[in-house]
Amino acid sequence: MTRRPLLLPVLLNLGYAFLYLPIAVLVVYSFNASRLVTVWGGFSTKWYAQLAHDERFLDAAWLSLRVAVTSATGALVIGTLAAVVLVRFGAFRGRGLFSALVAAPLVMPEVIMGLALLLTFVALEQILGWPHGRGFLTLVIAHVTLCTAFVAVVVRSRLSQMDRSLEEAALDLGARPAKVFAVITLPLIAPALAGGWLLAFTLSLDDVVVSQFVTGPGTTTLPIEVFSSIRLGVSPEINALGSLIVAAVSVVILTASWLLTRGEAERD
Amino acid sequence: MSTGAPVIRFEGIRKSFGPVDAVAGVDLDIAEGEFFSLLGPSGCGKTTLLRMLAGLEDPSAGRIRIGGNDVTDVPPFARPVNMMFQSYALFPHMSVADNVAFGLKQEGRPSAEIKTRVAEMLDLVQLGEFGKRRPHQLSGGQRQRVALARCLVKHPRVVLLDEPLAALDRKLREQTQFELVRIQKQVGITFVMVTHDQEEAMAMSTRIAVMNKGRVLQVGRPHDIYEYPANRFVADFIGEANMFEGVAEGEGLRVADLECPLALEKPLAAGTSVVVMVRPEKIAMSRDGDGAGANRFAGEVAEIGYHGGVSSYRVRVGAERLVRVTSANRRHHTEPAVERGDRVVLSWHPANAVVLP
Repeated sequence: MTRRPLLLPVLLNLGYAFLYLPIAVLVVYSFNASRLVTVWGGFSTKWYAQLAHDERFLDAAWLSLRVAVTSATGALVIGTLAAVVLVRFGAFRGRGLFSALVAAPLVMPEVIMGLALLLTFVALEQILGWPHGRGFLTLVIAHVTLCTAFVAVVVRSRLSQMDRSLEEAALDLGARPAKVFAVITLPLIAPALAGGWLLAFTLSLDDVVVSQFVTGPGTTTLPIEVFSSIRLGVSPEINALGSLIVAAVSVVILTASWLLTRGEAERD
Repeated sequence: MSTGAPVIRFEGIRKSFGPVDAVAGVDLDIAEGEFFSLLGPSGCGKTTLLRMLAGLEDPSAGRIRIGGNDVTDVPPFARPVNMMFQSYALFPHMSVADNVAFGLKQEGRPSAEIKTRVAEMLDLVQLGEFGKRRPHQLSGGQRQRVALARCLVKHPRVVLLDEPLAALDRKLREQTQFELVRIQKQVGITFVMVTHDQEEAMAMSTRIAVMNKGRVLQVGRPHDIYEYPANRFVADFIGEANMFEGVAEGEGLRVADLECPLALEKPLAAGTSVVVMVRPEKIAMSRDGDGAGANRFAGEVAEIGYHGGVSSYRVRVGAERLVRVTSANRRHHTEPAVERGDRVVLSWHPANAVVLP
């Protein structure tokens, strides 16, 4: 056997440790029987059991889930429309500006976005009386704003790689443009749509910064709930919750990337 | 052939992309039942012309008629033409049968009719057993036939083919040429093909339009275009050509770098400057005979290309000029008849030369 360099695997594992050790610690301590977070008191699943009866966390989780599903769906529709316009509508006036504006939220600091949204909501309420107060609706609007750019980027890249002549062939065979979009374009970009939706869903689910600004009393999302309970002292219950979130997010991310790569492979 | 009413008529068709004229004024009639080719180098506007016929591009000026009806403003999904794309554009998420059925479904045909017509069409292209496969499970040649079936199944007035053979390898391409012509004769539908491959166009078409820089330079049967090109571009683009540029003098043509004048079939007015074109296979080459007199030129063989059935030669005549000659290798030689460096005499009958303006 040839001598393998020892340094490379060591570096690799150091890298992994750097990235994932904190998460591993979190997961391990979620099974800690002791109430003290930093002292190991034996294996137990009691924090998971306790979590299952904690109304506060469950309500927050349910709200986060509804916000995430709604805003991911909204972002998918708007982001896909933006991508179609950018890829398929040729060189219209203001295309460069449109393209830049669609992508801008990707690099916009969340604090500024949150503040801007809050100011807009307050101003709108004063002038139009809508949206009334802050809660589910303002959260969804804010998250759609945040996630649309991500969906647009994913769908745009897929659309621009798609062979234009497929749509032309359908048109040539007698399908009207709307039909072509429904039966040719949509099925072919479906993996990107699914991937974009899941990306938006994850972003919305764990957003704290923007949500802090635009949420109101009585509507507390899960990440905000976690944040505020940590301030009152870390309970191992948080560790259990954290572990569950890590598991859920991993599943979603893995599914999204699997969908995207499978789409690539099928297209030759 | 070119008899019968035109099924397609281009009237003053122009297409500009910004400042560039991709198609710069084309008037063209294509008759019912023709296998018509648009031939030219890349960027000559042939594909744009085809796409305008399909309705995928709008002409900047001019009218297009199909079967006597003005279709210039008719959208692609309502035109009685179907196109076979260079990439074949088979829908990857549908089976072969669903691909072929797609056009009929858009017409809202009953499903029983769709089924029988799809089956008939797949039989015609010899893919009867492949209906359930997905396009990516087929070979290039099979995909090409599915694309053809998908066009033909709607019984269009015209089938448009955009470089139909470009994606196939050489052996398959020759076989498919005959196959396409056979199918076209069988279904009796007018075919319009775009190609940059002159041999392909010659072998398959009833008529060819040679295009360059957005214009049609000559329309005619393959034989006419090869033997009687209308101008220098066509002569040079189709096949190989020896061009002799000169000025008419007496009975013949004075060419700057040749000692003797070229003999012409019909004398021209003295002082007219023209180009005389001679195809390489029209030139006789021999090792004996003297190099004097009209249309007889002594030279030295500079290069030989052996292609099996034929050999091509480049013969140096005078100081600069290389004359191309091809001749069939008719006999079973062990030794080549002519070798590099041999002195030879070239000659051709004036009737085999074409005078170009």
